[in-house]
Amino acid sequence: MSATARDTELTATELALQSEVREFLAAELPRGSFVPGLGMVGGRDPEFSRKLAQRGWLGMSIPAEHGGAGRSAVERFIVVEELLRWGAPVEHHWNADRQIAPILARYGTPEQRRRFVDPICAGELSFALGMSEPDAGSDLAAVATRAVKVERGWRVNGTKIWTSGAHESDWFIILCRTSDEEDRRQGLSRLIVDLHGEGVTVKPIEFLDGTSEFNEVSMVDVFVPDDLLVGEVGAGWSQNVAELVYERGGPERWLSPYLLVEQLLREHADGLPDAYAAVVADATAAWWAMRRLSLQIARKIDRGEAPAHESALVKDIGTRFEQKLVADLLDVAEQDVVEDEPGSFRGLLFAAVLNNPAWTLRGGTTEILRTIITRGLR
Amino acid sequence: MSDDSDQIAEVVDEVLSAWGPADQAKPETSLAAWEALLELGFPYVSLDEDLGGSGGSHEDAFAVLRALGAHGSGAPIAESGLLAGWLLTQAGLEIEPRLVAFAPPLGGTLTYDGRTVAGEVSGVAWAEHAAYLVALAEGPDGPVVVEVPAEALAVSATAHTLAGTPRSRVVLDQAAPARVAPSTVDAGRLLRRAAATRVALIAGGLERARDLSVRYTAERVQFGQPVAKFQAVQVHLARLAEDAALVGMTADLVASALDSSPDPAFDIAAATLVARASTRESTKAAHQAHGAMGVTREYPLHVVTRHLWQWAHDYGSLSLWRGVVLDAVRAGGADGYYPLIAAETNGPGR
Repeated sequence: MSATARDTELTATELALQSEVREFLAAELPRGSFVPGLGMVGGRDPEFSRKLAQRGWLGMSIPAEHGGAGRSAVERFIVVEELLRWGAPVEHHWNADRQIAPILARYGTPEQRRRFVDPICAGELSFALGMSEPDAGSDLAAVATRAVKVERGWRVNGTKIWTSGAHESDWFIILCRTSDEEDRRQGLSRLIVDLHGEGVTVKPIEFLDGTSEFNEVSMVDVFVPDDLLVGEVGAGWSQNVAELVYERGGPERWLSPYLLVEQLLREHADGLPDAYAAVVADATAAWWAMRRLSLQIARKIDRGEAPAHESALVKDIGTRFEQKLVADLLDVAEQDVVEDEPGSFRGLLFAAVLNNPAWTLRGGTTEILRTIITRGLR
Repeated sequence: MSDDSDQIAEVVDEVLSAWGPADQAKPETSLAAWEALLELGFPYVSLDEDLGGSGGSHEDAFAVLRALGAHGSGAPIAESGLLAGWLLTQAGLEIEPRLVAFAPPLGGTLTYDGRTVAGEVSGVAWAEHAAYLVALAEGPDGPVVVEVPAEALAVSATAHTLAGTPRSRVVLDQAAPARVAPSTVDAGRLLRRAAATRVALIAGGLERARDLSVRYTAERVQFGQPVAKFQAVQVHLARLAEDAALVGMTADLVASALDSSPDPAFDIAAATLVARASTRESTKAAHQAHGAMGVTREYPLHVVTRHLWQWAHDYGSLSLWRGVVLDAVRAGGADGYYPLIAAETNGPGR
């Protein structure tokens, strides 16, 4: 068997986990009993997140000595894949589980891990990510939020924007400038900031469909104690680059419109109309291939590799595919696409058409990814 | 790839490197390359050693094809070796190491009446150069494999494909086969196997198209810098990198699937759809990244892209392969849809 096939085959233990997750979801969220979401914006349900935690399915790949479940990246992949394709409400724990727990497991102090990783793994805490600013998006090294050293901590001033979920999260992690250096990527640090703390104002920014997921978060003289600095002062940039591997290659980059096709099949149980045949066949083949490329990244992470180049490739392949599928389905859809039937094929398509422009923006725009990919080719 | 298949790829690469890109496009080079590779047993990798095959796995055979793909070589390893040879061995017939013509499964129907073969097949590669035609025919009691000597064939209407390789119409009128045996496989399975060879060839071709484009855009300077520095050009390079990675992986998976299951229809069909979509986009990207240089005869890009266009066109229409995927989708329905996507390539249920 080729190395690729070995990487993309699941072991008996992994297959057992997959069955366990499928059974859990079928019992907990039977099809038709809830309105499924599109991938990682599938809704927020703290109670559901706590149930996942009870199963040991949050903070899965965090080493046990750091408060996690000590499972593998592939096992986490399996759980995330099933949750997303089910359209489960994952937003409450999503950022905390995917990014914050691994960051603190890697760079955090024992105290920080006790304070944050444990409750994240219990489904108790939700986090937002404070990266972009009004004048810093793709060019992240341009962040202007500044933290000045004061006694026992930092005084933070600045504004973060497009901060998803900040209005419903407990904390957020920010990239900010702690010193001015010749190289703009130096002198950046990361701090954990209490979203309910003094001087922090969260202002919603309506998305084009009228929903409020985005926010502007302004910080005026916010005091952040020393013990909420992540890792070393000045290490913000390199920490950020290292974790993009975890953020870019996962199932959330190709599963967003999955339910459109499953629901289409459900609504045409007596036979898929010919109009959809080509689109569904091509999408099925693409998923068959992408899933395995994505799974291979998790396998490489488990081997201790850092497949940054592959992760960028998968994110671009995946998000490009997601958008093409939505456009293709809209082309062949035989009925009006409407807002009023959430969960039906046309309701899901409505949501996908309005949301999909963001799929190639979140987590690094297509343009930036291609620059990274090209750099990796030399 | 395993160590074995890595070594195989290196040797095939070395053999093919004897010809420059300009020569690679000539039919006589394809034949010379076939001869050179035949001497080393490469056309018959993965086939039964007791019947004249070279042994090894499908992974090894795919390593040969990927190396051919990367050179844009027209040597008929797939048709004359992996397909015709396989057709013979699965029927218990011995492989004779020589160039044979292979009747493509969609090229036309041949019937065997127990004594002679009749019918007409189109799209037969290298028919004028082959001593025998190896084909699947309808016999009185089911499919048979026939091997018909050249003198019993009427070869006509030779035309040259997108890749510049010759294909002909072959007419058989009461042609007595030199050898005949009952076949354990039917035309459908032969077609799937033929399509699988294209996934491997395309995987190699896309890697080469990517590498040529990366190299050229790093060397070509405009506005005072290599054109690879421009985001507009990076779009093409990223596309090539993505498609090469995706199709390379599907080729690995199909090879493994063939090693562990007799007829992995869904995997082959899915891989074919992915390989064809990637070919379409990536050949365009490679040419665009190269500017005018890429459309000249002397520059090697066309040697690869012309083959890619041909390989993506061979063995069944797009709608045929979509149909195979859709059959599996319909069989599983909504509840079976994700399990189908995520099913083990080498596992049960395929």
